[in-house]
Amino acid sequence: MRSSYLELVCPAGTPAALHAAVAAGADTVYCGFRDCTNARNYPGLNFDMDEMTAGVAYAHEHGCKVLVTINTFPRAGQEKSWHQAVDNAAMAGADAIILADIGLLDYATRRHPGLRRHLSVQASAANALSILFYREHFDIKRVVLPRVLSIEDVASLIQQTEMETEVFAFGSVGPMSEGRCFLSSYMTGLSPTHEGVCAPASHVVYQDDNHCIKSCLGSVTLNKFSKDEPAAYPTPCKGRYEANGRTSYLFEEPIGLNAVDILPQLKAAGVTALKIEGRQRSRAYVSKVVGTFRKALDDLAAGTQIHASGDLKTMAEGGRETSGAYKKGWR
Amino acid sequence: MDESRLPVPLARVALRVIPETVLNRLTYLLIRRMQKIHPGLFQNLARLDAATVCIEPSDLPYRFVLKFGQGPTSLRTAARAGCSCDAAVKGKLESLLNLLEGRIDSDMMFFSREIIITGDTAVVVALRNTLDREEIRLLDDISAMCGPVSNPARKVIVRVNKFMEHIKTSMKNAHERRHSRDANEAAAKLECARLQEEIKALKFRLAKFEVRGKRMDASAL
Amino acid sequence: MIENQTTQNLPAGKITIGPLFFHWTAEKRRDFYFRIADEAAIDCVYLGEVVCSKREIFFKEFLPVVSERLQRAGKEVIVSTLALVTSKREMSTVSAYADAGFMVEANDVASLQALHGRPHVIGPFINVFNESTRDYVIKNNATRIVLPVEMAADSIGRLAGGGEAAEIEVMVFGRQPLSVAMRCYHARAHELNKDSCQFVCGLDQDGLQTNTVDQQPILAVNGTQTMSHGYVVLLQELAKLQNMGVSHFRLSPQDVDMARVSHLYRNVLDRKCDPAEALETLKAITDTVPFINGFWHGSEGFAWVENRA
Repeated sequence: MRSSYLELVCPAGTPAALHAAVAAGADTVYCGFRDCTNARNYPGLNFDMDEMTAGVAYAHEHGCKVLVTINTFPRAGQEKSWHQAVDNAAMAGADAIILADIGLLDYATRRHPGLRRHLSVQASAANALSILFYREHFDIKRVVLPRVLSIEDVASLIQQTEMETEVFAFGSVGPMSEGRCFLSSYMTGLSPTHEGVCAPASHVVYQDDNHCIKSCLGSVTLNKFSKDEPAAYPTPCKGRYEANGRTSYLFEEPIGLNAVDILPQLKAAGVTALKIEGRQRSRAYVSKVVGTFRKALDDLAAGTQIHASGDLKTMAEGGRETSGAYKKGWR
Repeated sequence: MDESRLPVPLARVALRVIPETVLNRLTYLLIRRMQKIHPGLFQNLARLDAATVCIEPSDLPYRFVLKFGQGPTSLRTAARAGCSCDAAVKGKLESLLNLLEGRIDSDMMFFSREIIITGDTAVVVALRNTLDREEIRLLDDISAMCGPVSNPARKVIVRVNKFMEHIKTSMKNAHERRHSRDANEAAAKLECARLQEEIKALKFRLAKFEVRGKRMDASAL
Repeated sequence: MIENQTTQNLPAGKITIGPLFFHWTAEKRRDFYFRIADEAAIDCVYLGEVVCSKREIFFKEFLPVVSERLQRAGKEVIVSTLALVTSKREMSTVSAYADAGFMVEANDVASLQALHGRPHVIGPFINVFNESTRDYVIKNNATRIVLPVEMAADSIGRLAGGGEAAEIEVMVFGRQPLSVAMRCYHARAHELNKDSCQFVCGLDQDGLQTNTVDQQPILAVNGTQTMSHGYVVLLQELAKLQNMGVSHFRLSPQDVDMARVSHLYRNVLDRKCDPAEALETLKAITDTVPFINGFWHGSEGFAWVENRA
């Protein structure tokens, strides 16, 4: 059964988004607490303990699972908050927790042996040996694969490890090995690894600059675009830089990941679950994207043609889409 | 038309004709009403850092200043020029209402430049995330302001809007006809006259609505 | 000065040469290590390719002779492994080093699995940010931990102050590695891709300077790796680091006179030279590349914060 059914794992930045995801046909939602213990620590986002408990109950009533994301790296001397988050997730009745830090995995394994542990994409486990390490040491049940792998890589990893895998199907494209990228803190002083925010809004500035819009992260100018170009977030890996006498999107363009066209291949590779990225996005995004993928997966299960292409383009970053590293030639 | 939605053309006209003092009174009442309907929203707003956001509908002659965080939330109108807000969100009234009601993804509107954000981005992100936690149906909230007459009020809003849409279509048709070579000038004139009548009737209805608003305003004091 | 009195009782700090991140020709690489063996004030040298497995083949034949020469000169030799392992071929390389009995610096968790608990060094590309993780990797037989470059002074203090369970190493000179990727940015800068890269990374012996659209030099690209434009320089912080319990100080190879750089750091560690003076001398060696120390101060990594002490 597992091999033929692709689980749809959906983001919930707020209780309202959780309801929207459930209504749109999510099999599973993932969410985080309202602090720096998760990698989407944006102002006004996420769940307090009461909301988490209610959210889990609501999801369970509707036959939907809840994963709690605790995937930042605890700062030295401050591990208590992260331990608290693990305890709270267990108390709220979460179906699994998503972790990246070795010390925290160890804590969860010892304190809550019965609570399923998933390995976060932030752990950057991109090969069979790494996955086996985490499985042997912390009995992880699922690994969220980094966005830097091709479909062939994914298939090979699954074959080598026989592990449950979750892969990104929609959302942002991360060209760097995640959890180990210090570009944002290099430019802002705030670390995504501890604070849970890449390109924090507090440091984002848009300036009008002679028919251009200039986007800056702190004091670093990351892009200049003409007013008829689609806007984009000033993320360090998606800025324009000048190197070798040429100005270009050196690392990655402002573009969204959409794997809806390659769902059959992902399924054939043996993937267990598809992840929709975007806890920081609105519930309108959640409804639209989850709804589209629900339909696509139902079409896939029924063996009919998938009719979803193009539907989500406006939702993608910069209004453009790519299948990212999944297809050869990306790297 | 989706009858659960606040009709934007009507809102635009209403916001143009209602005098500013009355509008300020109405927004005050609306906020007060919304506090009763969405207590969680206001608790969450109060949890944020204190900030003011300027909301600038590009198709209206003025803008709104929303104050929230570490105290009561308030919304009032402000003149076009000069603003000391922490951040500003600019866009068509329709886009801004969609944003408020969470109907369209705000990032998408941002990518496509349907809305433009200036100033402290963190303030806008915090506000957006907080609003997005709540199911807001502005039409319901505005109708609810009318207390016992909320249902009739809602009907009036919907009816007036239908009427306006009809006018809009008629005007559009008239416009097209006038520009077509075979246009019958007499017919166009007749149509114009009829439209003027309709507009007059509409203004009248609006004025009535305005009076009703003022009355409620007075009774609320 | 109380601080000076306490530091005098500490064991002398050890200076290490981190793995070479750049794609120098095999001969240049060999000669570099020969000079380190013969002239530098270095206690330990990390060999091995960290950035891109496609480069590995070039230096392979020189590894034994270089390693032997360094050991003969009394240097400890450690083999650093890839920071991002994805292919089966890369995994077998990692396993081969582990099985050959080399002391290995693990830069990807893959190495930890390949080592099966044999003694090893944890490289800066494995996130050890807190006490629990430190204690876990020590339990798994890490004898030394090289801390992530992003770490600020207070966190370094907390992790280094944990007794003698493992040695702690901090990078104190060179371009800070900020990210690793599957994609080759050097190739992209030349409108190529990783599979057809033509080894263009070899064109920039010290990294490819990368500016913002406002012409501010900000990053350096080195193959799949992104680095700081400036060199991190923690000369004035050496005494503090020693006091915290840091035992090893890493100089990351740049295309400058590294033997001279090592002597400067040695002299400051041995209190034979004033840090401020050493800083001026270093500037003469490193030419126009700016110095940075932002991460140490918990601020923007690319910043240089004047030492107030």
